[in-house]
Amino acid sequence: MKKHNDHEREDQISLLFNSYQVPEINGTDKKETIELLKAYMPIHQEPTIELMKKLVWQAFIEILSRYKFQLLILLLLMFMTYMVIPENMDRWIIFILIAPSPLLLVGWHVMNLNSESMVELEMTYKYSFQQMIFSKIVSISVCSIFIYTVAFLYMILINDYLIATTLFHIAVTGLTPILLFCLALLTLSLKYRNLMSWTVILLAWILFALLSVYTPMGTILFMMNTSIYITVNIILIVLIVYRLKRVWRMERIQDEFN
Amino acid sequence: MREDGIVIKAIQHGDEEAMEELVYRYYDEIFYYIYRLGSSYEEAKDLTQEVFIAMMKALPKYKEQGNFKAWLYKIAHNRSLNHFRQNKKQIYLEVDLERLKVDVDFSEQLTNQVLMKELLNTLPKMQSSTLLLKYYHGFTIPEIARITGSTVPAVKSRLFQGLQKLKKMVMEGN
Repeated sequence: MKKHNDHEREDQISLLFNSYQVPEINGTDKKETIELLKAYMPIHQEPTIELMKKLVWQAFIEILSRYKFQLLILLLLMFMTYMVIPENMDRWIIFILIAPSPLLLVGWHVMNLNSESMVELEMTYKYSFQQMIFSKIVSISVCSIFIYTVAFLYMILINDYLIATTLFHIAVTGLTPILLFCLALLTLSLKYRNLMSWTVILLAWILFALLSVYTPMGTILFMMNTSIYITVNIILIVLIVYRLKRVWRMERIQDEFN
Repeated sequence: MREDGIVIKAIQHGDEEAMEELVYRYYDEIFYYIYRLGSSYEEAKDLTQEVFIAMMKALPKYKEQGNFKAWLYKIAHNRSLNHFRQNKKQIYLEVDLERLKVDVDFSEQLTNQVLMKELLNTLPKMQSSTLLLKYYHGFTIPEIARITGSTVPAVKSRLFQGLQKLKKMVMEGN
């Protein structure tokens, strides 16, 4: 009897569930919703990584076409360091001091974009100015490291008497000025973008280079432990990555460049 | 009919027709879910609209892994429960006579409509939503757990208790 009652109640519940009628939806309600949602349509954006790759490649092509002769001369200069520099001077120190020269050259170009009309022009770009700065600095830094690596490999070939630890030390030491200039360019291009600031950097580097070549300072610095350079390079890389992230995320702010 | 994943990709690329397709596909279901939870027609309409707006806002970062429907219901569930929390004690038992379908016996339909709405409204919202998702929208227990943000045992318990209460109420009614 109890089972029969339970069944009956279950039937009643399912009957209730099944017979629960709902109002018909007005067709215009759906249309209204669709019209409203049109304002919320996502705007298709390229994935960040793809956009970065594209911009860096574009910047690389631009730099290469604009500075092809200068970069070629720099490359030759690095290749010729061993032969051109007299034997009484430390060729490796000079080789390391020349390593960031592509950055110095392109830094000049990046810093030279400070006129009012340039800022106005930047506002019409499809990509933000920060994204352009980002791509130019990344491409020239990669370019500098590439030139340095090629020249370094060449130097290894013609100096086959050098032991592996010395080579590693030179490789690590040479990266430090490249990374240092990359960070300086990133910082200055956003905060003090004018030719004067880059001239100061350039003169400071020339002074430092002269002191390194003609005083024992260069030798002292060069003889410093490799681990110190590795630590400095890691710190510089962290700072560069942090800066690059900030540069990429920044919105277009005209005032920042005035 | 295109799969949800394809339609969503198209919307993410700015295809308005795909958005229309998705709205037509899910509008009724979402509307009735909210309506059955105890809203008036107008309220259900506004909430459904809000659900779709929230969906559009979240869609650029959404990655379809075959559970879009459950994800949409989760939005509807959260929105509705928030709404009910903010507007406590406003339970809609009025029946919109004009909107009732007329293809079944009118008086019986009216009685059932009021009775069922009343019964569902006497249950706690989590219980009624669990019953609705199970019996009207065909979700499995793990899916309901995901939509309502609960565990599988909790959903099972709510289903059992909800049905027991309904049975009891039907018995008392008899």
